[in-house]
Amino acid sequence: MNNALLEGILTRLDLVVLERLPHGLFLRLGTAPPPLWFSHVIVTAKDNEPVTVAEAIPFLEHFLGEAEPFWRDVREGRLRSEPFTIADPEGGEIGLVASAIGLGHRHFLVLELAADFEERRRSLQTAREHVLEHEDHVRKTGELLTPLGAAQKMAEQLGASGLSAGQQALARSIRDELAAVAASIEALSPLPKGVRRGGR
Amino acid sequence: MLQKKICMLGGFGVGKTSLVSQFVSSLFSDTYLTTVGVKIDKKTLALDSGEMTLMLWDIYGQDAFQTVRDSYLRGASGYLLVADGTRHATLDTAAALQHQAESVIGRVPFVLLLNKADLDSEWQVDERALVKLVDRGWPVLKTSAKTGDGVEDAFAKLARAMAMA
Repeated sequence: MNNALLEGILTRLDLVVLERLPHGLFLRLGTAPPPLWFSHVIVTAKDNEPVTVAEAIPFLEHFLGEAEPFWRDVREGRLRSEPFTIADPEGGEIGLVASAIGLGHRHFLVLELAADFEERRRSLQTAREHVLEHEDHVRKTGELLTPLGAAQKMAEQLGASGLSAGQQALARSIRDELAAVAASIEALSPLPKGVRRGGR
Repeated sequence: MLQKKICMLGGFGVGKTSLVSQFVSSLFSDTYLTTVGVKIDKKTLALDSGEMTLMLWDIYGQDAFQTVRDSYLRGASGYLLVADGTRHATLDTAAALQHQAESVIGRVPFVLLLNKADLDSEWQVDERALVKLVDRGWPVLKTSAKTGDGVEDAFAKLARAMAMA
């Protein structure tokens, strides 16, 4: 495969490939213009000019700390980072992933857009919003059940007091009605197994 | 200039990103946008002992879907534990993260922030729970990323503790 073709593919993939040089410097491979996100954060990235990526992208300082022993000890293969974000020119966020790659005695740092970043964010966002909604639901249910429980107790005490038989029957009926309402509310908002509902 | 890494640790949705945004840019958004991965910001503070640049590691919230990796904590000189005062369970998550942080980076300065102090009517964390933590020597502050109350103080308190450590 010729270099021009390979560069074209890298450009389409929004990838930046940097070769590790001595003294913490990196050289971007290829002569095609780098992706915009890269030019934005590393403004000095001209062709054939080594750059220090860790200053411009602080997360890389952390990742390079893991990459150095990987390059030293493993030599071959790939070490992939967790996603991290950098600011885009419009004030938004760009999700990136870094990979350390060893090929014999040569070491490379590949920076790429985290392809599943937005999808992962959307999934987590939805899941967490559901958890928050559930927590809110449980809290509101608890707020309803606390006074209901107190009223049930009061009706029970009335039922056991020295009222007339008719009044006691009425108190017991009220207690049973309240218990039924509480059970309906509980059924609407079941708690996970092993979790007890309780006041704070 | 002195540069220190600090980590924002806490459960999801407690307001870690909003606190950083309020502190760094004086901005707040009511829209909850979950953090994926790590976002790093920096801000320089003027302390009595000189200037200190804080590298703020805003790490995704811990929950059943994601747990904080030890490697993110390494190199931190301090951390802010963030809990949501309207969700008592987030205090338990903060306590678990404090335990994790101490086992990874040792006893470095930290401050527990009870965020969302503007939501008084929904407050769930009771004073007894706080007194227990304060008795254990935990510095505790109430903050509101929305109004900005306590935010500057929180970062400054941690910075001063790190300068003295």
